[in-house]
Amino acid sequence: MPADAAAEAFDFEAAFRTHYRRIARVIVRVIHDPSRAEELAIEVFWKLWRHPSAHGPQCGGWLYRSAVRAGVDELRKRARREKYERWFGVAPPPADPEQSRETSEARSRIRTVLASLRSQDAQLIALRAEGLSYEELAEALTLKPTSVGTMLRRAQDAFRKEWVKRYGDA
Amino acid sequence: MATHEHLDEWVDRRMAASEPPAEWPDPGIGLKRLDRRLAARRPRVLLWAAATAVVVVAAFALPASRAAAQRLWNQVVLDRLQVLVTDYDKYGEAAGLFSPEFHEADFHAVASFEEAVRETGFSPRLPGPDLVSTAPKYSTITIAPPRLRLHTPAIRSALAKAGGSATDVPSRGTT
Repeated sequence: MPADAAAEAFDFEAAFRTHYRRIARVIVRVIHDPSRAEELAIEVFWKLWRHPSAHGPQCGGWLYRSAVRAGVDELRKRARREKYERWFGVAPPPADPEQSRETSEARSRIRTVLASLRSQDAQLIALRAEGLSYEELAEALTLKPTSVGTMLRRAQDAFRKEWVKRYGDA
Repeated sequence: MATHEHLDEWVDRRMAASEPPAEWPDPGIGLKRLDRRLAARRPRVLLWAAATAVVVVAAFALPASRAAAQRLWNQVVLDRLQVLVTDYDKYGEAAGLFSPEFHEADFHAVASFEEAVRETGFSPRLPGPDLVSTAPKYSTITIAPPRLRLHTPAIRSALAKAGGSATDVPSRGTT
């Protein structure tokens, strides 16, 4: 089917039902804020709706790319805000009481480390954690399939180094 | 490879804390939220279109803004009209070999079209009064003898036609 015809025949609702859960999960893995993750996921689909050129059977890659970028951008925005709040002595918001202290701390560490990585490394780590295969990673981040393994290893290595530097090997 | 697997596992163990609940989120709820988002967008587009229409109508309807728009239009469309008369007959058959270039000179303001005609000695054909919204001002200009720009390709061609060249000019020839 030609690209234009495929885009015309695009079933937006079916694409939403197929990808929404995974898209929201990718984002929440990065920002650890479920309600904001749902908002961002909706935003990603709204953008897809406004970009007919992304409609078609390959929309999954576009969605993952947009989702993980939205997540990493949000994370960085929050990291900046927290930094300024610390400078001005504003207390950070209280931790979610439903989460155990341990889980909350682990998530906070993940957020901090991901925010300090290069954007593409953070995207690779988040998407891989959601179980995307090498092929899916290549499609989502428009990478060469043959270089995904190497780039993922570099990203993981950077993640570990940053983690160890901040929190030790715990 | 063992190192890579170790690294993979190490990262997976850390990232495991970010695992959301298995059934989260509900696509049905998400779809409703998206529908609300899309529905909320449409009136905003209509609102912008309506606001733009109101501004455009106001610009044409109100005398002050209409005058401002007219001034802007005049600036863009018609700034100044200059009429120059050049007597090419004076240059005979050689007119094609060069073109005159006029120097900028000071304009001399005159009170009316008739005065301009008297001063210059000819009556130019001007555009109709509808084209210029404000009362036109007239001025005349005396052009100093023009500088001549020689058209070397035309001269070479004329020389070649006469059987000469750029270095060998025939004693008589036609252009």
